[in-house]
Amino acid sequence: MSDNRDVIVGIDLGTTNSLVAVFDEAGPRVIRDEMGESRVPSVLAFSAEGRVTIGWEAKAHAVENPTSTVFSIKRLMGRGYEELAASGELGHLPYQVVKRVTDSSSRDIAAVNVNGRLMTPPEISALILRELKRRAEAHLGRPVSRAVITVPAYFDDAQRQATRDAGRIAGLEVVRIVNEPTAAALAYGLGLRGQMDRIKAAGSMLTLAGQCPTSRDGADAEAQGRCSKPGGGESLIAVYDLGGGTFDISILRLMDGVFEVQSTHGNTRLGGDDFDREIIGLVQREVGEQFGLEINSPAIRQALRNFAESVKMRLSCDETATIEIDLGQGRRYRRSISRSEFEAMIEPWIAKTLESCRRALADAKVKAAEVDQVILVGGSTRIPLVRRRVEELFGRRPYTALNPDEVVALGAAVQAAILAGEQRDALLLDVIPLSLGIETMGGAMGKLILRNTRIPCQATERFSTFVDGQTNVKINVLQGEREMAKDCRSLGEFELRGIPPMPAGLPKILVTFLIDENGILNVSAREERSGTEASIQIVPTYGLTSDEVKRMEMESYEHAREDMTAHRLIDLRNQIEFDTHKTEQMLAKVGDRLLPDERQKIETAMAELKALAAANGTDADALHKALIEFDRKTVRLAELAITETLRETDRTGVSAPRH
Amino acid sequence: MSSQPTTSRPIRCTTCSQPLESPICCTSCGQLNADPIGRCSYFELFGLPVDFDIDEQSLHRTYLSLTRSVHPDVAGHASQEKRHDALAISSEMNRAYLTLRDPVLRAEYLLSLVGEPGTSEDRAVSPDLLGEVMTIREEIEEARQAGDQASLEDLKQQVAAKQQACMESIVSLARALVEKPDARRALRRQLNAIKYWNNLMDRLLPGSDGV
Repeated sequence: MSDNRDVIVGIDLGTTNSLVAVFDEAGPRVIRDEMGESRVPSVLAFSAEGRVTIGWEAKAHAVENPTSTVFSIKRLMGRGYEELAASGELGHLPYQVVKRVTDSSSRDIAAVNVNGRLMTPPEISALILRELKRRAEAHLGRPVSRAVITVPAYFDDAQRQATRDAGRIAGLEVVRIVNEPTAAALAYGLGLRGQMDRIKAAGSMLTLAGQCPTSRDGADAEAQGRCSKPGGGESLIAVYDLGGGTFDISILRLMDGVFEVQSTHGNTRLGGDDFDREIIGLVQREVGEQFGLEINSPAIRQALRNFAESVKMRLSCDETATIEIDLGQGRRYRRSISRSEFEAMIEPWIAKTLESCRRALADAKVKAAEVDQVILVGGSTRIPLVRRRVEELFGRRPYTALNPDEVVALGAAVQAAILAGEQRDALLLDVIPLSLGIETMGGAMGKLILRNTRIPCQATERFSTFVDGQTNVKINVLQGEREMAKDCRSLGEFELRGIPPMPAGLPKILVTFLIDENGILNVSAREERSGTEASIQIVPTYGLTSDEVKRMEMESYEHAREDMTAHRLIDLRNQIEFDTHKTEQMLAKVGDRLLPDERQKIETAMAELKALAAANGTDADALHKALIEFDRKTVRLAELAITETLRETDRTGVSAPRH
Repeated sequence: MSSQPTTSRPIRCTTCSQPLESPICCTSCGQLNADPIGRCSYFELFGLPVDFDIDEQSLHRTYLSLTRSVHPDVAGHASQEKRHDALAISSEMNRAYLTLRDPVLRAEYLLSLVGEPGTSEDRAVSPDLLGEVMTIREEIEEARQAGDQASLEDLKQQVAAKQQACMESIVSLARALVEKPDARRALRRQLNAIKYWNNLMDRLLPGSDGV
């Protein structure tokens, strides 16, 4: 890696967790904290004073601050308030989402009310990106200003734009938006080749099994044994990516280092969150039936969310998990959920993903049996039912040797290396996931570029005027597969200006719609008779204008400068004092419910943290890390304390599932 | 073919003097040339003769080799201008490849090269087709509403057979395009017809909500 050039990092900006990776001499590598943890939970906690904490710390305190803790912000990226409200998405969120006032009635921008301040999803995502940037800078010991960021393959243009805006607000030049399943395939393909090179170097004749990356657990041995098609030839890969909030399937052909995406399908509102919601819904329903209680306050919803997630995870290894809720006044809701019960709840969601897979196969004009390798990506692919159904569909054991949480970030780092010119033999050829078109007469959708068209690609369309002397033409640009414009998503109103005045119908305006290598739309227009370039004013339906992004970037930059001052140290010391004091209170209240060694560990950690804060050092990062570590150690204690608090305040407590 | 557009393309790269695979880029030195876009045929872009019969594997190989030189990821770093060229050339290359790879699009393209109207200007089909399509369409809806999987499967076979017959006709007409100018109208009709069969098949495929 040349030092005079700025490094490009790879970022997986996830619904549940986010990661950052770099590419060095040894290949792609995720950046970990001292505890070896690569994931940063995509959770933000905002204090009333305007302080933001991100990651594990924020997640640990989510129940205490349900309305000022923001999670799953990715589900809101590039989407309008009206459509979110209509989809029922907002009912699941403890924090408040409102419609932002804009300059135009055709725009629909959602914003989160954070202690009275309205923040758009890109601004909130920018805070996560900034945290990852900081992490990468601390690790590399130099500034980072450029990044490759991944998005679900099925993200539409507005969602991609929103992601790029988030990068810009965070002070990152987003050199590429890359699709998550494609990134995963890149990491997979590279791992495969790396392994093969080593085999060649060893000069040994190994069986096919030896050509796969090293497996992490024994269960993958069989999958490895079936890893087919030696390198050099062509192989067909399916990437099944089920994350916290989104699902994608991509079919790729890999040949001589070129990854050609054949087709992609998915659902940007289907993921592990929905499985959690099934469990939450079940508990709320049954508590209502048995006790006539409605448990739906933000705090309870947050608490339910936390343990629905842990029940879900438990059921991936155990056959049953127990839910127990103390409702106060001697009322106790208790039930166990078996894995098969949980599977029945999520089966319809999984069925939807399989429909997408069949569609993607049909679009790629291949049969399931022709697929040489199935790669699983995303935390939700740890669910046994998911693995079973995917295996049934493709008739082969999915390849699971890569960590499904990390593979996307690794792929992003590989793409970063390709763009930096450090990785010359690999190349990604991706497709546009949804058809692009314009609203035509009568409100129909006139498709200009069909879904699964290889990008970059472009289409041109001629427009003219209806009125004599007309100098402006408005075009409604759409994305989607339906026949009517109203059933597709409007990307925005594109207004062509500066058309020379002529009799109606005479101007010939040639509009070029270019989808660039990021899958993002660029529009240009020219009046052919006069040869004048028409200027284009874009009013994005769901997105931010470039001026808005610029302003947010400035605001965010000023914030960042403040962070750099001594304020940070003072804030940290205050926070440590607050957290340790609170922990003492919690220990006094519910400490007896901990195991003796659990309690001992917390007390030791508390003493160490106090000593560090008292030492009056100037290393804010060290202090910050120590605080995060401490907060993580007290998660279980906080859960216990919350149960108690809820019981006192709401007379309705929620306890974490029993271990 | 008399009316095919011709371009005098340099045999060798003007920068490195190596033989050129394609007029729009040099795979040896990476020199890009956006000028031939729109002036030279998709076949010429890949150094192929203008003919319906092509070797799809060799087309794919050439496409990959050229893409390695023209894709913005490879060619786009040097300057804003080169990135602009790389975008224009690779989107043209993608369009050309996707057109030539698909027999229906390839036949459409050949028709346009000999100056025949496109499907938007001439939608004519054989007189019986519309009635036939309408009937099958209704049968699909009925079977779907009744949840009759056996009938749906049966309809799928029917449509597949029609699709195949239409396709075979397209192939033989497209091959004869050069010698027989009167094959052009017939080809136009068959290319219009295949759209109907493809749409019907689309309705029968998984993941289709019938919209």
